[in-house]
Amino acid sequence: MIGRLGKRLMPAALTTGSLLAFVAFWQVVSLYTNPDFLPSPGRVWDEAVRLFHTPVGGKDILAHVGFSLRRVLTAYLWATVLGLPLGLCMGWNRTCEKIVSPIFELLRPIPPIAWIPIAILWLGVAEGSKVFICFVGSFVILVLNSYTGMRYVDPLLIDAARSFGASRRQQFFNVAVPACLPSIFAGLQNALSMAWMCVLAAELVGAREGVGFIIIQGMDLNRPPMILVGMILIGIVGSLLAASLRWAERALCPWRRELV
Amino acid sequence: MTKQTAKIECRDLSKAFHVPGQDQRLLVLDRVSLSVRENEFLVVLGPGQCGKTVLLNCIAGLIEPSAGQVLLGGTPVTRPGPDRAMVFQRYALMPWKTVEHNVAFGLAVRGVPVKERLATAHHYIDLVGLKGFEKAYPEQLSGGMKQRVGIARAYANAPDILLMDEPFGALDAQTRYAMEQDLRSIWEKDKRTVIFVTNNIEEAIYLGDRILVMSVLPGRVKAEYAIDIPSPRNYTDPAFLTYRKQISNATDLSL
Ligand SMILES: Nc1ncnc2c1ncn2[C@@H]1O[C@H](COP(=O)(O)OP(=O)(O)O)[C@@H](O)[C@H]1O
Ligand SMILES: [Mg+2]
Repeated sequence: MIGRLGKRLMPAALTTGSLLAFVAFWQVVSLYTNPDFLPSPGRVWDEAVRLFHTPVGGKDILAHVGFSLRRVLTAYLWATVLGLPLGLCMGWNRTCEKIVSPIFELLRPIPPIAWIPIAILWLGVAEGSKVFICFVGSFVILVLNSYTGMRYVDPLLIDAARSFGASRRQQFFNVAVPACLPSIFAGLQNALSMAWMCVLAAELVGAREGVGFIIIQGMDLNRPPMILVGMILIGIVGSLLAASLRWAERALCPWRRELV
Repeated sequence: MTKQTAKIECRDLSKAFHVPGQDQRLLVLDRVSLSVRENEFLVVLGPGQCGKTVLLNCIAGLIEPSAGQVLLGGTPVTRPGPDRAMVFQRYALMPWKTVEHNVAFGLAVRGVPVKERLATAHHYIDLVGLKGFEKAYPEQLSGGMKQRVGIARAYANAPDILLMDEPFGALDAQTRYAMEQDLRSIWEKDKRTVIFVTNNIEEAIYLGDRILVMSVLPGRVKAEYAIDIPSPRNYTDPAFLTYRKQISNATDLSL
């Protein structure tokens, strides 16, 4: 009797099952290790509940998540506003490409984390430097993704548009940009994950709030459960961010057939 | 041929390309001359890679010839225009647009209001036999259906001239026959001047009022045949087979 309902519930069951199996595995491993080394899921849960009620560094845990999120979203917004048009122009216009792409080839291999010291020197340990690090990480990814996406637009589509008399402007906005929406979305996804990873790196260096600060506090207080709560929060928030973008992509690119 | 001004005329059209890493330019079209009358169905028949697409692109105004000129009603072509519409071998449909918006593309480019252009699009979607697929995306259609969209898109822009670049080249034989019949009957209902490029003799004889045979690279016009078979044509008609034999014998394209 595995009917239509069964088919619909199957994916949900698989997801829940895999998460439960992971927690069970963790539980088993923690039974055989020193609890100060790897705390059990139960202890981490208790710690999470405690952190919800007791402020750390004067703020409760949701406020810390809020701080990190605000840094990420500010940086991400700037990166999108500046990076997307720049990447698209690089892919569309030869002159623009020749001017900008050498600089990018140089900047690309520098990991965003390598910018931390100079960012702190320039902008201090306050908000500015953290937002800057996130901005650098996501900006580079956005530019490169929209640039390559534009480079791989099928010239035949542009020819088709031209043959119907489309102006250069119409070719860009009505054909080239929609044609590279899928790679733009891939870039938006990667850039957001990158910004989220960068904010933690930035917060590990001298922050007084944010999820990174919780992890560092956990280390300073020698509380492994607290560190793990911080890490799990990172995972949850990061995957929620990614999921919301996937949802937006599905709504905006309904012609895309998916493998699964 | 009548002496009145031709609808389309190519005079000694040549095109050479720079090929990276080679000193000499690759000559693709060598002094091609042709003329097409109003509402004539001209087929250009030639082997693969002989410059058929380049020839159509010159007429479409997508590329500039190296020498010679293309005249439309006596005036030289310098760029694409709404008087011509192209049907592409690889369809060239916009994957993010539904069938109706693909068909309405040319009208959208010219700023025709949405309601009006969709009404026109629906008329041509109907004409090519795709009623019911207005809201489908190209990805969801078979090759033959995609090319029907391509044909409707060209027609919807109300061009005088249709340029068709091996439109059925990627289709299986069965679908191809069906498409040829439908194209011929669409054209008879709604006549335009057509230049249709193909490498298939049967297709050329079935569709064309006149056939120009091109040589291998560099493309030249090698021979010309007027096909005098009344509609509806039949692939196994004695007259059809005679033409086929005559053209096969005269060319290195054989079937
Ligand atoms: N933009 C281009 N640059 C260089 N060579 C080209 C270009 N366009 C076409 N060619 C060459 O011209 C020849 C004829 O091409 P084409 O017109 O596409 O042939 P077909 O008859 O199959 O349509 C080919 O050898 C092709 O490599
Ligand atoms: Mg071709």
